[in-house]
Amino acid sequence: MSDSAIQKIRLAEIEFVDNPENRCPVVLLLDTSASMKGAPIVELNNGINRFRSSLLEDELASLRVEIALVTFGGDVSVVQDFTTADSFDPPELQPRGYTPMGEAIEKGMDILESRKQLYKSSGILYYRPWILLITDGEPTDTWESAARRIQTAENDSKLLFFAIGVKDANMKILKKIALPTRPPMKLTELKFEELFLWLSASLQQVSSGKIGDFKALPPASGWGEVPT
Amino acid sequence: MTWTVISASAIGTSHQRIGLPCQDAGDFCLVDGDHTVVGAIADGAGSAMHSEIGARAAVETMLYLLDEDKASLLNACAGLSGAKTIEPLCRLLIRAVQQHLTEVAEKKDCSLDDLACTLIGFIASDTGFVALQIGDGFLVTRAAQAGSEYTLVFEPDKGELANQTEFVTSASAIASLQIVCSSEPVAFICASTDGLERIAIQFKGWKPYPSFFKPLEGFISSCTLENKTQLQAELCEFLGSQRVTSKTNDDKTLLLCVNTPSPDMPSNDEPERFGDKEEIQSE
Repeated sequence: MSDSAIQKIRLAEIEFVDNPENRCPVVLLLDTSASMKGAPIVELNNGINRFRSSLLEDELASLRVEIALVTFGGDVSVVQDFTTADSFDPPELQPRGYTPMGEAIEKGMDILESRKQLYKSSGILYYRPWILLITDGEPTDTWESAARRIQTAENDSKLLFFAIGVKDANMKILKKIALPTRPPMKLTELKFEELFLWLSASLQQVSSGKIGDFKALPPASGWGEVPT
Repeated sequence: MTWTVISASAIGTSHQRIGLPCQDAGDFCLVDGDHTVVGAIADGAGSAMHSEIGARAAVETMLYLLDEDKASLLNACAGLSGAKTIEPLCRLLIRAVQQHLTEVAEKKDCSLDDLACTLIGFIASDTGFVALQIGDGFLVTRAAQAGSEYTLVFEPDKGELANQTEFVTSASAIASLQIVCSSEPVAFICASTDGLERIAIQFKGWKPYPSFFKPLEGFISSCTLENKTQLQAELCEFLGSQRVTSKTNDDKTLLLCVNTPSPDMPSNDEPERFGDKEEIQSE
């Protein structure tokens, strides 16, 4: 009888490590060039806000998904560095200028790389990072080397790259940036909200799973299609 | 010195929620009159259709093979047949596990990938310790020498994603195989699937958390023939407790081994005992 009492105390004595949560970094590369003026930029802003509120509804995702926003309109700007949904306060994006898409991709890759270094040095485990590019036009700078960088990384399973074309986006160039195995999608009408709800649902699924144990993503049929 | 072993698995809350079975498997056998322990654990992939069958088959095969090859494995530890032989030997073991899983897949009419699981196997005696690992999960030991600290036997794969999972069924399994062979005997072994990793291993620097393992070692050290069943139940209860499930929603397995001075003279002609499948016979 006393034996069993001792053992019970022993298992209760076990202390747990307080490790930091796993993280899933997501970079949104957003076209904010002048052509996004009007309904597209309004819907994009709405979509991002919906993205935030949807992530907040999922306890695990709100702790694990880290969002960064890089805009390209006139110049390239990190308007939001990596943050979890609870402290994500999406800025109101304004359209202006040209479309330096190549530079934006490079910037997105750079901030992702330094984020991963920070994870590694802090003992944080992370899921495969996501980069999502949304554009309604075509790059006005050189984009070929940025495309190669994306493709090499995706081929090495270092990230997931999604390209999404809005309205009159140059899908031919997007096809050259994305991998054939994950071709660019065309946004149906201006279904930004559906797109971001899909992104949130996908990230909730990915970030609750085992790292490296990749599951199929939810269908994207609610917001887009692969153009033929 | 003789080994005392307890193992327990508990289903993860995320598996319960979506109706998946517990895909972890863990088992052991005591041989050479309890002077040698052979253990294996496997974690079936959440995305594979029959991974609980794969995990169980991988564990059973691993135990069988380690027992079969125990002489060569332990000789390799002692340097008797040259340390170099251990690697080809372990690769053969894994190929044999894969072969068996292929047969299971054929019988079950499913693909090998449907049986995907990680795998950890080990053999330990008074004279040495051999361990192998494919994929995640962890093996923590404490050397027999007094004052030794807990050691994580295998650091996680240094892939791009920390803790990237490999499966024994994948083409890259052999390439990712990690092997340890040591003539330094261990006094305590804890094998676990990755469900407990977050609470047992400090990710920064990949160090076992002593406040986790010390009570566990105390627990298994208190195990006797009389209270074994009860301790087993307590370990199960612990793995399923809210305290643990609030920290991890995955399946969890613990296989605990301790090597202690024999209570009475062990007889070498004792029958081999496989896990808990055979009741321990009292004379």
